[in-house]
Amino acid sequence: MGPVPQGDAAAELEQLLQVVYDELHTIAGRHLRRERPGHTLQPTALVHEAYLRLVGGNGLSAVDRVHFLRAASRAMRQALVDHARARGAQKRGGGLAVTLDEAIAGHEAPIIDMLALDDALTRLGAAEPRWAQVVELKFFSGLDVPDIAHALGVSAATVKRDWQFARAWLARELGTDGL
Amino acid sequence: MSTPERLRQVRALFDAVMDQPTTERDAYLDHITQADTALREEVRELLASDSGAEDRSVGMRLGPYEIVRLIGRGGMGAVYEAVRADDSFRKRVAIKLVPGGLASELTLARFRRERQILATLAHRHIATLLDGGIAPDGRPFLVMEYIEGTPITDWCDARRLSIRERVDLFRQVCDAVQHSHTNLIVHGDIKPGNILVTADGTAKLLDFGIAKLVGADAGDEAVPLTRGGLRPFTPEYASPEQIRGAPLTTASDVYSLGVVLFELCVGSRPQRTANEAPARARGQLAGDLDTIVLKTLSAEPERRYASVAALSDDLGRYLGGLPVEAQRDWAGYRLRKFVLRNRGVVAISLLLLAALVTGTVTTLVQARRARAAQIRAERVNGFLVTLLSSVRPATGGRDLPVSEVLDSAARRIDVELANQPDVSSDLESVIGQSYLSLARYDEAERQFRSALEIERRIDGPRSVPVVMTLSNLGGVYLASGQLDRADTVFRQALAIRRSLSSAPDTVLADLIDDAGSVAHDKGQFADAERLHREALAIFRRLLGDRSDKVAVGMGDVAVALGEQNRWVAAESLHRSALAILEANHPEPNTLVADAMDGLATALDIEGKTAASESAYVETLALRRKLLGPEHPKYTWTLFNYSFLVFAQGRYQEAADISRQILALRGKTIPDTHPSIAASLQTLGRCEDKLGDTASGRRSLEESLALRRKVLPPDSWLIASGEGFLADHFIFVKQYGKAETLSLDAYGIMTKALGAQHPKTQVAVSRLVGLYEASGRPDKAAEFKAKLIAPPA
Repeated sequence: MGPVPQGDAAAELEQLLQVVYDELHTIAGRHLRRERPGHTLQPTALVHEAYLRLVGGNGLSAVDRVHFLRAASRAMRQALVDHARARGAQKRGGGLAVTLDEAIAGHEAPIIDMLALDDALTRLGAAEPRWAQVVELKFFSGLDVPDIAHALGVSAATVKRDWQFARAWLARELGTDGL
Repeated sequence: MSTPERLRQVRALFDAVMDQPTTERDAYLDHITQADTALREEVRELLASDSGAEDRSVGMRLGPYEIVRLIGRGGMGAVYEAVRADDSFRKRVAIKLVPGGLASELTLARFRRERQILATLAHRHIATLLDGGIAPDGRPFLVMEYIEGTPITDWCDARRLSIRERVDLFRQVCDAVQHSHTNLIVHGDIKPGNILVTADGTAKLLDFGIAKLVGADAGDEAVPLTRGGLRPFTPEYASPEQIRGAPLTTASDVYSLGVVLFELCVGSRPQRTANEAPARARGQLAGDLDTIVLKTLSAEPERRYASVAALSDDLGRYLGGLPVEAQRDWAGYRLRKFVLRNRGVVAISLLLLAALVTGTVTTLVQARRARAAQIRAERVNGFLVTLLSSVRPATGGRDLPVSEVLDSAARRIDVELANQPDVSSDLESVIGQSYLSLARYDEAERQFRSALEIERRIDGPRSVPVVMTLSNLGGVYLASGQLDRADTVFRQALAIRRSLSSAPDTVLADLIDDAGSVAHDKGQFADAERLHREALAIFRRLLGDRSDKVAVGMGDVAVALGEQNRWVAAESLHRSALAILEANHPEPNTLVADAMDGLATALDIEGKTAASESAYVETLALRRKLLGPEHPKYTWTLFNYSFLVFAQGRYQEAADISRQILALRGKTIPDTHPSIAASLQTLGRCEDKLGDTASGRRSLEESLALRRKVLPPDSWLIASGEGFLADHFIFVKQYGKAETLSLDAYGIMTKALGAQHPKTQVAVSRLVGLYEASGRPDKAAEFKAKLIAPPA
C-alpha cells in the first residue's frame, strides 16, 4: 500500500475510518463514564484497545497495521473532539482534558485542552497536512519515527524535523511547557 | 495568528537555523530575517521551546552530580547522563528526574514508589539504584547505575547471534524478572528498550517506573499510576489483560517476555489478536522453542508458564537438548537394580495410602513454616478423607481400586483445588509417589511436574519443597531407566540443596544416594559405591545405626559391591541390613522384601543355592502379599528366581515361571521393561534344553531384538543376548551364525566391562568351545590364551 491512498484505496480508508471512529467513540465514552470528574484520557491506550477489538481474530500485516493506525489516529482525534464538544455543551467551560502519552509526547503528560489542540492541529495542517499527520500518528497511535516515516512515505529525518517543529509550535500555541 | 503561508515561512527559517551549529544560530537568524522582527521573534520562540524540550536541565547540579546530557524521556520522567563532579574519576551515572513544573503529589508518590522498589532489588541483571535526592527546585531524583548498552534486539542483530545464543542471553533477563517477582515486584513494561546489553554481553533490566508491588496494601494501591486509571505501557509488549486494564500480575510479565523472546528469535513481533495466542508463531520457530514461545504467549494467563523461572528452566532444557515435553523413553535401561530402586516405597492398599499421606504431609510440614503448613496438612487430609470415603474399594482387589482412587484424585485435584495451589501440590506429590510405586511412570511424572511448577511459584525456585519434588521426579526417571534425565534432575536438586545450606541433612543424603543410584545404573559401580557410602555415613550420623534409611543405604552399597564381584562382602552387608529392617518391621514390609531380594541374589551368585532359594521364596511371598502377583517388583523377583531354578536344571519349572511373567506383557509390564527380554531369554534356553529348539530360537531372537530396540548398541545386555543365541546355534550345530554372534558379544563385553570381567570370560570360553567343536584348534588356542585362571 502506498503512502497516499488513491481511488479505491481512498474509499476503503474512508470506510475504515468510519468503523474505527464508531468503535473509538464507544470506547472513549465507556472510559469517560467510568472516570471521576477531572480525570483524563490516554488516547494511545484507547486506540490500541480499538485495534484489538476491531482486528479481532484475523491479525494484520505490518502494512495494514500502519494503515489502520493512520485511520485510527484521525478517528481518535475526531472522537475526542466530539466528546469534548458534548461535554462543553453539558457543562459550561467543560472542555475535555487529554493526557498525551508521555512516552510518546516525551514529557510528563501535560493536560491539554482537546479543543485547543484540535484547533492548533487544523491550523498546522492547513500549512502542510503532513505536519499534522505526524502529530496525529505520534500522539494518538504512539507510532515511532520509522513507522511514521513508513506510513507517510517520507524519510525518518523528515519526520524527525516535522515533529521537532510541530512540537515547538504547538507548545507555544497551547501555552504549555512542552508536549 | 499565523496564516498557512506565514507558517510555512516560519518552518523554512526554523529548518535553516536548525541546520546551523548551535553557537551560530542566533547570528544566522538575525542575518536571514533582516528587518522582519516579528518573524525573527516567532522563530526564536520556537527554537527556545525546542531547546527547552531537549536540554533545559543540562549543566544542572544535583547534589554531587552534574547533568551532562539527556538520554531519553519515558516512563515517569526524563533520564540524563550525569557525572559525579566531586569524584576525581568523574564516575558516570544515570539520573532520573521528575519533569519540572508538573511534580504533582501523584508524580511524587509514584517516584517514591519506584525508589522503594529499586532499593529492594539487587541483582546482576537489574540496573542498580545508587542514590537519590532532592534537586534545588524541590524535584526528587534517582541516581542509577549508568548502563552503556544497546537494546537486546539490536545487540543480537548487530552480532548476528544464533538462536541458541539469543535464548541464552534472554535467560539472563528471565533471571532479573524472576528476582523482581521473588521480591513481589511486577515490572509491567518489559520491552527491548528496557533491556540493555553491555559490550561484555551482560543484560540489564531497566525502568521500574510503572512496576507494581504484588499484593501491596490498599494505601499503596490508592496511588494510581496514571490519572484516568490507565497505566502507561507499551501496547506491543503488553499482555491482553494488561491492555484491558486488569491489574498487573507476574503473568503479564511472562507474556511480555514472550513477545521479546519471539522478537529475538523470529526477528519481528508476533501478530496478535485480542483473544488468541499468535498462531503465526507456529512454523516460524523450530520444535520445542515454538512450543515454549506459544505457551508464554497464551491469551489466558493461567495457560502461560506459572513463573518466569519455569519459562527459563524450559529454555534451559531446550538449550540442553532435553525434551521440554516429557516423552517416555526406556533407552539406557539397566536391568539389575530395577527392584531395589523403587525407593518411594509405598504400600498398595487404601489403608497404606492413607498412612502414606500422613507421612508425606509430615515431611512437608517440616519443610515449611509450621503454622501455614499445619493448615495445609489439615486441608490435604480433609480432601483425602472425602476422596477415600467416596470410593468403595472392591474387596480383595489391590491394584485396581488404588489405581482408580489415584486417577480420581488426580482428576479432582484439577477441578476442586484449582484455587488452592499449595494444597494441590502436596497432593500431587503424594499421588505421584503412589503412581511411581505402581510403576505408572507417565502419570507419576505428570503429577511431580505439576507439583514442581506450583512449588516453584509458591515456595520459590530454590526451596526445600522444590528440591524434594525434583528428587521424586528423578526417582521416576531412574525407575523408568531414563538415566540422563535422572542425572540432570538430581544434579539440579543437589545444586539447589547445597545453595540453601551447607549442613548435612537427610535431604542431602537422599540426593547423594540418588546420584549413586544413577551411577550404578550407568554401570559406574565404583562411583556408585563411593556415593552410597557417603550418603550412608550421613544417615548414620543423623539417624543412628539402626534406622530404616541406614539399612536401605547398606543394601545399596551391598549391591554396588556385588557388581564389582565382591559377593562375600555384599552378602554380609545384605544380612546386616535385613536384620535391622526385620527388627524395625515385624509386620510384612516392602523394605524387608527389597533387602531379602538383594540377599537372595548375592547368595545365588556365591553358589549358596539352598539358602538363596529359601530367601527367594520368602521374598516372593512377601511381595505377593504386599503388591499382588502382577506388580513389576513381584515379577522381577520371580525372574531372578527363575535363574536359580534354571541353574538347578529344573527347566520345565523355569519355563513356567517365565511364561507367567510374559503373560503380563503389555498389561502391567510394558514391552520395553527389562524383565520381558530377560524372561524371553530364560524361556528360550529352557525350550532348547527341553528339546523344542524351534521355539527356543524364536524366543531368543525375540529377546535380542527387543534389547536392540531399547538399549544403546554398546550395552552388555545386548552382548548377553547374542551370547545366549550363539549358544543355541552351537547346540544345533550352526557354527557360522554362532561365530558371528559370539565374536560380536565378545567385542561388546570387552569394551563395556573389560577383558577380565566374568561376563567377558564367559564370552571367551564360548568362543573356545565353538572353535573346538567346529574343528578349528588354532582359533581355539588363540582364545584359550585370553582366559584367566578362575580363582580358587
